[in-house]
Parts: sequence; structure tokens; C-alpha cells
Amino acid sequence: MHIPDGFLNTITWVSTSIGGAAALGSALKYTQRTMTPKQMPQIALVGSFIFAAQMLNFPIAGATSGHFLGGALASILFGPMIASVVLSAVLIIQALVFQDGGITALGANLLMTAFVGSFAGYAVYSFMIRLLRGRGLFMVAFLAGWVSIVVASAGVGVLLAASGTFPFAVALKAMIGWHSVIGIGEGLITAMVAIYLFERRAFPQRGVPA
Amino acid sequence: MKYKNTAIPFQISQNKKKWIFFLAIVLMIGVLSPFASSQPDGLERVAQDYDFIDNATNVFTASPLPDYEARFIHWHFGSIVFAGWLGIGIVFIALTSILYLLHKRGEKHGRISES
Repeated sequence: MHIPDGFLNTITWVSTSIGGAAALGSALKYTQRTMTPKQMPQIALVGSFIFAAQMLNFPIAGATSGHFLGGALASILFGPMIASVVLSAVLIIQALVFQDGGITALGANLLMTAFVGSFAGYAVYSFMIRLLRGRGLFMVAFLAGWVSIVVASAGVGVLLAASGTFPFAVALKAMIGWHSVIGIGEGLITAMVAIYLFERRAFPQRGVPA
Repeated sequence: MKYKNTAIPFQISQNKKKWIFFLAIVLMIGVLSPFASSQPDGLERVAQDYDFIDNATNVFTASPLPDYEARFIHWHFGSIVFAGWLGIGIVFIALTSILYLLHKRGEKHGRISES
């Protein structure tokens, strides 16, 4: 789901470029404050995984394919701000080096895929995991992945509609329709990797010095 | 001390072996990338259905590896795997350098919060 050049009208791509740059600036600032040096190689490797997995388009119904985005996965692992930085790096490299996603649409792609995707996925994860007190990690991560891609695709639909491509209702229906199927793949990959890279936090027990 | 129910009870694994295996998986995905489906993805499909796929243009045409292919390698399979691995490496190096520089500058200006 990389918007190419030419899909967005001038006012949309200019304003999303400004918005994307501002959002990335604040995410970088937040990352600087909160990241520990030990996390750096982990964050970079998860970024590489997301880049690699985005290349693997999997076929879904009706001669259409989908691919992993990774916002939910990165935000489950590192929080939504660091996740947005990771996804932004991947999207910028894809646009510059691999001609995937337009340069004028980069801001829109950052805002939707990196920021909206990461925050939507994290909202679902942090709410559900607390609600279930840590039970059902697979289901929670699956749902976070699914929601993140569906919400991000709705965001792209809104931008396309705002550019006068097609009416809002049609845009949302078409984008959400296809991406709710693609979201199943997103959810499965998110859940499998989260289960693999996570371990239960060891909470100090009563009477045992921490 | 009892932990609060509001805390998220998971943390990222510090097991080095797990991370090395994860790296192996990432490289393996690079080898699998030539088998990726070339059907249109969700957005492209919508653009086809509603007749605006032809609006797509390329403003920036200096990309060295367009469409995830290293065109200077004449073996199709190899060129895709090579481009994929190169991308994996670029993302890793770019992210490590950005994060390292951010952290160094943060230390210099006292912007790192003590946790």
C-alpha cells in the first residue's frame, strides 16, 4: 500500500508532506529521549525484517495480492513512536532506492503507513493486553495487526477521496474491503513474530528482594 | 511487591540466539522474494477498479534499484535476491546510524531521560 506520485492532488500532497515531516521530527525527538543503547541493534533488525517482509506479496482472492506493513509489530515491540521512526526509515529507503511509493506521496505514506498504522495497532494492543492481563498474546497481536492495516488503508482512502479521485464512501468501502482480507496476513505475521520475540516480564515476587 | 495490573507483562527477549535466528529468517525472506506474488496489491487493485491507476507517475527516476531488481545482474532470480539483501543491509545500517547519532547528540545535550 504505497501511494505513487500522481494519485494525490497538489494541496493534499503538500499538506501531508509538511505533516509527515513534522510528525517524523517529533517521533525522532521522543525516540532520542526514551531509547536505550541496547535497543539499537534490535530496532534496526526489526526494521530489516519489516523491509524484507514487505517485499513478499502474498496472493489473496481475485487476482490481488497483499503485503505486510509492520506498524503494529514494531509498535508492540518498541512503542508507537519508535515504530513510526522504523517504518519511516523503511518507506524513505523504498521510495529513494527502489522507486516504491512516490516522492511527492512520501509524506502521505509516512502519515498513514508509519504513524496511523503504528498508533492504531498499539492502541489495540495496549488496551487488549491490559484488559486480558497478558493472556492471549497471539490473538491480541493478530487483532492489532489487522486493525492497523485496515485503519491505515481507510486513511489512504480518505486522502484519495480528498484528492478528488473518487467519493469518500466509495473510497472507504473499496480500501477497507480489500485490506480487511490483507489484514489477516498482517495479523498472522505480527502475532507469530511477537510471540517469538517476546518473553514474560519477570515481576519480583513478594518477600524476594528484586 | 505485587505488580500492577496496568503494566504490560511482556518484554522483548534478550536471548542472543533468538536474535541470530531472527537475522537468519530475515536473510531467508530475501531469498524467497523472487517468489512474491506480482499481482496488484490492495491499493493498485482499487486504483484499477476505479480507473485511476494510469494517474501513477514517477517524479523521482534516479532510483538505483527500481522494482526491487538489480538490473545490472542478468540472472533474474539473482538480481531480485541481491536487491533484496542490499535493501535489508541498507535499512539495518541506516537505522543503526540514525539511532546512534540521535543517542550521541542526546547525551551531549542532556536530552536523555533517566529511566
